[in-house]
Amino acid sequence: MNQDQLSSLVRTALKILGALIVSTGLQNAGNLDAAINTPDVIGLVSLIAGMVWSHFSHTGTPPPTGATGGSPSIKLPLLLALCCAVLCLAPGCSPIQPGADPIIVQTERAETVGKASFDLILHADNTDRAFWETNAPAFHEFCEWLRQPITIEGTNTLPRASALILQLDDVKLDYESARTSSNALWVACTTFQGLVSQAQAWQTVILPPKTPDPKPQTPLLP
Amino acid sequence: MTLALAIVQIIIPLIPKVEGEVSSLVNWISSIRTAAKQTGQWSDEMEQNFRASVIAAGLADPAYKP
Repeated sequence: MNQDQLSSLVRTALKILGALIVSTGLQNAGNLDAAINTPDVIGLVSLIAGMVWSHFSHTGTPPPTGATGGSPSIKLPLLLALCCAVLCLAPGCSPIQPGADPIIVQTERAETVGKASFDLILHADNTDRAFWETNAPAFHEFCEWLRQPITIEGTNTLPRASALILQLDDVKLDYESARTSSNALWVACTTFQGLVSQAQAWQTVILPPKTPDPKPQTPLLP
Repeated sequence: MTLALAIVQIIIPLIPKVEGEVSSLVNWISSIRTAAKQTGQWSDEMEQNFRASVIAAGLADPAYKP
């Protein structure tokens, strides 16, 4: 084991520690069927693949004769990267069960993703509202629009983000009990998905580091 | 070793600042997976739990306050 491999092991140990801190309490496998599809198992397989990749991807130990060291093989990392991509992406897609109404399932999926998307951008904006108001006013304005109190179902007052989800859910319940048409639910669902898409578009603004570069920008040419 | 200690001292105070956004991001990714794995309609219990979580967030979460 040369110094590259030793450093790789130390980096891997730090990655394991970080992953444990982030994923603690995220999701636990309840049974074998669920375990195959949980992030825990996928993360573990990806971790092992990364360790194997790190172990074999290093500069060769210089032989005593002075010959050049061996170059790392490209086939193994490529194969492992493909395996990781398949493991991370493939198990997530599930078909709708026979008998389930596709438009209802689609609406419930939209509500789930919508709630998490609103949570993400509202919490990001809430970490430093003054900063976002100054540096990304359109994003902050969108978040404030989502926070505006809306009266729904007669007497309940909720932020617009919550009210929109509940209003879509009400339309879904009306459709389930045959009080409204599938067209009305479809229009409500697609309108809501458009709003969620707008919220997700703001994630591209808020996810990069928000601290400015302290180094002054100098021109490359004199 | 000194450099590593200096880096650790810089990183540790930053952890609480990014923790909130990271947990929200992890929750968002988890919700994408949950939605993609959903194969049938919600049961009545799941429906009530979801509505209760939406209402609770709207009423109690400071991030939702104007």
